[in-house]
Amino acid sequence: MSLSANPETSALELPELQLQELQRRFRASVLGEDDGPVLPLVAAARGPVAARIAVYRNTVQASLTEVLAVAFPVTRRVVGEQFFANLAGRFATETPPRLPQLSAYGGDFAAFIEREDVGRRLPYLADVARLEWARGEAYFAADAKPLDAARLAALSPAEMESTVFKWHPATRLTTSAFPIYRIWEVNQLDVADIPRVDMGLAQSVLVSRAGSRLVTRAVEPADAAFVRATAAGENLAEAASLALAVDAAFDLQRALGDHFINGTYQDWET
Amino acid sequence: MASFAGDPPGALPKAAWVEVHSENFLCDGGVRLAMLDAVAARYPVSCHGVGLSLGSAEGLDEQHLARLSRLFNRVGPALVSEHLSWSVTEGVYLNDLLPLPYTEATLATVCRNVMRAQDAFGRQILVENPSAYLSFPGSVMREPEFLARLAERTGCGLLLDINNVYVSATNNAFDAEDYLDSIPAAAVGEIHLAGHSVTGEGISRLLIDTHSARVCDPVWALFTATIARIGPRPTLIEWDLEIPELSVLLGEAAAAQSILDGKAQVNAPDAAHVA
Amino acid sequence: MIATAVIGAAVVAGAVTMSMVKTPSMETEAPGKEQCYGVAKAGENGCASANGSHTCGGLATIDKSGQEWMLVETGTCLKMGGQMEAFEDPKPAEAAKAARAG
Repeated sequence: MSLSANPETSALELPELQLQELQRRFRASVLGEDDGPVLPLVAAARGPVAARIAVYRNTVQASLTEVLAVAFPVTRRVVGEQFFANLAGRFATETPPRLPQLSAYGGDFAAFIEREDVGRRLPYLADVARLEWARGEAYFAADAKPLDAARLAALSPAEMESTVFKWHPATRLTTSAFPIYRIWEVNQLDVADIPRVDMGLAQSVLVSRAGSRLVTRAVEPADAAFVRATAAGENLAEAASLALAVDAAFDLQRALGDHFINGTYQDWET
Repeated sequence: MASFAGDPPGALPKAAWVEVHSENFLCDGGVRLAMLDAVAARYPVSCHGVGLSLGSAEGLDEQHLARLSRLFNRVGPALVSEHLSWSVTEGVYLNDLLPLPYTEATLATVCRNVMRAQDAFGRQILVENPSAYLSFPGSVMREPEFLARLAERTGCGLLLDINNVYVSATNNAFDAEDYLDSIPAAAVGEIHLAGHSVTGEGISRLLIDTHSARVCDPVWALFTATIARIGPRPTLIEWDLEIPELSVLLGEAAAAQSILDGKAQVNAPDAAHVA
Repeated sequence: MIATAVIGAAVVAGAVTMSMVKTPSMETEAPGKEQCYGVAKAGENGCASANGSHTCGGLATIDKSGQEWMLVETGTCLKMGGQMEAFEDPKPAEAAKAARAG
């Protein structure tokens, strides 16, 4: 089932398996591996045919790099445009999309960074990329009715403590040993002078959707423990206890107020 | 989602209909989908797909069909279209409209895939001719013949992209007028117009379908001749990169409209300065 | 177990009741950054080809073997500090994990 290298004999009737083989070879070429196997199958009316294949290759690779640049703007700013373009280009050829929706492309980028040299030189970078991916996921997540505080307040204390808060589909918690919120914050476009950052600070970042707004905020370790406990299905009393175990000064009232404002949780079914 | 068709310049939102790329709205929720809902409540929507890969030898991705079906049920599109190209092989998505050799075997594959898509969506789809940068010596028929036979065998319609015909004709040295004359008029359900960019010189000269410029004069001429032959069709100006002032885009739309109305001669782009 | 629940119940009842007073509508300004930097444009599929200027450009020849500039980050990491020398005792990557909703 291999194709003849001579187009005149290859082609009168390309059997279906051969269409698959052609597509395989074309893929290898477009992903930058090797033009050799596909060259005998294609032709240019004038000029070198390799330049024609390059149009497809460049479209695929340039658009994937652009998609990653848009999805990871802070990661890109941290390492610089040229370095990022190279990093993204290598990721794209090694890990091309599996879904024909480019909004879903880049979920493995943080893990890729971790495996690269840059992940060792800038050990916070992979977590910054995770935070950016969490924001993208939150942006496209399903809609849900936010938790109704009035409805919650109408419960008896006993009912309240046994209530399980369910994350809104857009809620994402990214926990890092590095100050990823601070890094994200100082790399926003409206921050001109990049300050030195205390890399010894560990931060958890909660991303949520409040109405049409995407909220990105640092949360204290105790609040992060609370949010994580609710994701694990702990009820309100247990989650609060876990948070208090992290920090005896945990202010549940204030934390819940922020969660209501920012849409961390969705309403529960009755 | 920024492309508008048809209507002359005037009140800003007075577009006849709106076309979106289906794959950009396959998310579960959020503001992007809400925006589409708002548009769909006001305008007829055309869902133009770029990721179904009708030319995949391995057949269509059933999960992708299901996601698209869900979107179409939500939006209720007036038109659904895709491309005569492939982008998926062995589960890898190459985000471009890759070319196909035009053989009997390819025709059988594409027919099967188009019929599967039409079954899944419960409706006719339009299939668009792509821009091509190379050809296959193994092809046994011309693209318009392939499209005509595809439409005849599957009942699909055609989305005729006249800029793509011009780009492919220039790159692959065939006659664009001859191509357009071979397209069965009754199958054409929509027309695309766009600008392209030119790269290289001499034997390296190549037209690239960048949707980044005004429609060129030869494409206006081909459009005018096509409309004269087949009658008016819903027509969209695609402009995706280096997006100009809205007035320029509206001017292009007005030029297209005057040709659709039979009021313009071959060289229409002067009308693009209106507004 | 019981002690935990008691602590929890007391705290929870007070917190939720009090928070009613200031429960805002979803449109109220929230603390933290809420702008959609970059996200609104995220992940757009398209049917145009990349700009023709890419055709003969470097993207056709991504050099996987490595070049000098590949090794040097030129972005804000330099200003923020935290290059490798600042991490003589780098925290293991395993410590940094992202939790996600099911």
